[in-house]
Amino acid sequence: MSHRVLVCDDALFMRTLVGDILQQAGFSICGQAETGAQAVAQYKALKPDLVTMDIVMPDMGGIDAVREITTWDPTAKVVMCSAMGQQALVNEALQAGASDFVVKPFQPNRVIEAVQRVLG
Amino acid sequence: MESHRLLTLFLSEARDLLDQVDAELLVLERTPDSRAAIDAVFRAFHSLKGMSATVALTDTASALHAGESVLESARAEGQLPASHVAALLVLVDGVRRALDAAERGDVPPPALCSAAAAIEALRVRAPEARGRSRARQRSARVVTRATAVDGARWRVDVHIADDAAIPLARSTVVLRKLHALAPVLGVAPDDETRAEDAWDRHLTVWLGDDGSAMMLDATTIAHAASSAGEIRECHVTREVRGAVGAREPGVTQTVRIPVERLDELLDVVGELVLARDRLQQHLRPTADDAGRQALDEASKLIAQLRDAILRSRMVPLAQVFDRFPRHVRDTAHALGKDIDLVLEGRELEVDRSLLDELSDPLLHLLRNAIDHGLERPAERRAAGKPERGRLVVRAIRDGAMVAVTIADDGRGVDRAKVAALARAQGVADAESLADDDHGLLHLLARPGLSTATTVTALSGRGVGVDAVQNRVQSLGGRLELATAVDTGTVITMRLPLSIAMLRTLLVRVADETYAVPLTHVHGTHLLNAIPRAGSASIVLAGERLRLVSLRTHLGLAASDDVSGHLVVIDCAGERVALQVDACLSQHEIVVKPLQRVRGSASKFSGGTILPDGLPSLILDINTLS
Repeated sequence: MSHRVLVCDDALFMRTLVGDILQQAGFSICGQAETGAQAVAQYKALKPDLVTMDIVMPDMGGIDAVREITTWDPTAKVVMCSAMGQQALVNEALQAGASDFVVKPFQPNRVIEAVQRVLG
Repeated sequence: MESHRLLTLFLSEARDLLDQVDAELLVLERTPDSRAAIDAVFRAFHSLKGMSATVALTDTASALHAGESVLESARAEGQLPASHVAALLVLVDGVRRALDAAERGDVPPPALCSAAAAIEALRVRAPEARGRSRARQRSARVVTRATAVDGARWRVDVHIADDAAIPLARSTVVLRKLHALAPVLGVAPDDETRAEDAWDRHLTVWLGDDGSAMMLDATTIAHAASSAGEIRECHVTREVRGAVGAREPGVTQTVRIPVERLDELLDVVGELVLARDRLQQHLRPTADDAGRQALDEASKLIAQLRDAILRSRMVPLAQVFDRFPRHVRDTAHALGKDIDLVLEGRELEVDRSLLDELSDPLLHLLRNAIDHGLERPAERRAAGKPERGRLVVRAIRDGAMVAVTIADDGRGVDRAKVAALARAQGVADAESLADDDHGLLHLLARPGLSTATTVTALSGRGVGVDAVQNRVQSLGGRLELATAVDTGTVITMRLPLSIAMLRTLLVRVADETYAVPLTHVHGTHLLNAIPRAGSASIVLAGERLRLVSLRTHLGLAASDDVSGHLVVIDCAGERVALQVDACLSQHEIVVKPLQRVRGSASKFSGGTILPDGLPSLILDINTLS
């Protein structure tokens, strides 16, 4: 059975891009979220194997969402999606409980490597 | 006798502690509020004071007491002002001299008392220094990786991939992975430094042991660190020696053994190996199965014994490397330069015979880099470089060799200037030689060639590259150079890990047997036709090689023999065909140093005893060039 992934990003383009990359690598996209609050709610409802999380989103940012998700489920696996120049924020997200990160612009192999690392 | 033994032990441990104090004070010079360093120096002074009082060195003890008091206030204030660091360094030197005096049975030198007095005076004026050192601290960075961490069991050195987009964040992933295995006790550099673009992506993590980590091994740790992704390399070492005062009993039991005793053991085992070879030679042909089996078993055990003794002689490079921060600081201060020194690979172990030989050439190269390579801050600013120069000393193991690299980001070697100087000395193809790094090194290593426009007291004339090159080659190693204008210079010394045992090719000339170090031998050829007497070169496999007759080289009478061998030797970058009467066999020999013979008469780097019990000389390859 393929791993189920929840994709969180406020931009549809980015959600589609990440979704495509992961689907082509054999993952299934079980849900999408446009805000941090949605991401938390979706996580609790879907219990995905993995979450990809944008950092800057309206209505609760990605970092707070990671914190809520990993508090609720300490085994949650979250990969942060960051733009260049957000190093401090990525680091904060990792300290808040995220497992790994990828940097935009996305290179498909980098995204897949990160996801596979996290899923062990 | 007993008191002599105690004094020896005291001196050796006290000197270790002083070295550690040196290292920690240099950390404090950059980071005046490093709690760990303040505590470490305090503990070291405290221990030293107690030890000195015990061996009745009262002046030393009271000087150390003054130092301890300064550290006590520093603990209360949370920082050690820069002026105090300088005074404490002077005090440390004073104590060192007092120890030397005690060793000779002399009275302590007056320098100690004046150093202690200077410290007392500082304590009274302490408050004014505070504001200044705060300002200093903001721009300061800890680069030295020499500091160990209390109670650490493992040291993990991780190099994050050069193309990793956010090295800081990647390092956080590494830390999380490691933390899942064992408590993280220390991280260097701090996260502020790791956030900087200038960070060299080298992360050192010290792991402790919370009881659950009993089953931990280096492979597991390396695997966990690498699973963080984007890791170029990862080294895991077991921390043997804790920081000052943190020696946990039972972790690693150590005994101090005088070096002479280790040398004695090696000598005996070297001769045992040869006796074994002789036994094999004589008994094997006539022995029955049981006899042969016993011989083989004894042989194997002797080999194990030899390996164990060689291992016991291995010491970490830290013993030499840890002197560098102080040395670099003092030299840089004297020359008005500002330098970050990075030490890597100080845990790498080499035979102590090599360690002793390594120190001088390395100090020489460091001094050269600081004096000639690295520019003064103003010059660097004008060239668009950071004002603070960077000097990296890195040791890595490369098979049976150790490669020590000294890299600076200075002005690089001025090829045109070197070429001009060499031409003035009569080198015809100086310009074309200076064009590539290999040729440039060849020119720099010419005796008496100096690239310094002014000759300083520190480096002297002629850069000393020739001295370094000679030393390195006589140790069976080689020197490499890479340099680029405005970018810097990298000098690499490649040396065998041990110079006490040597793999050699035995050759015969005029009924005498000589040993040629195998590290230099490229191959051997049976001579079909003897070259005409006096011919200077020979073509082998399409390559024209300089021909040297070992007979002539050693000043022996020429022979009319029609048979012979050629040994092709790598000699200072040149291939030389060495003509000998015969190649005998390969042997591992124990090198016995020769009394240095004055002048150019000596063509040998050492002696040995051969399996047949006869003495033999080891050819010094340098003398062929």
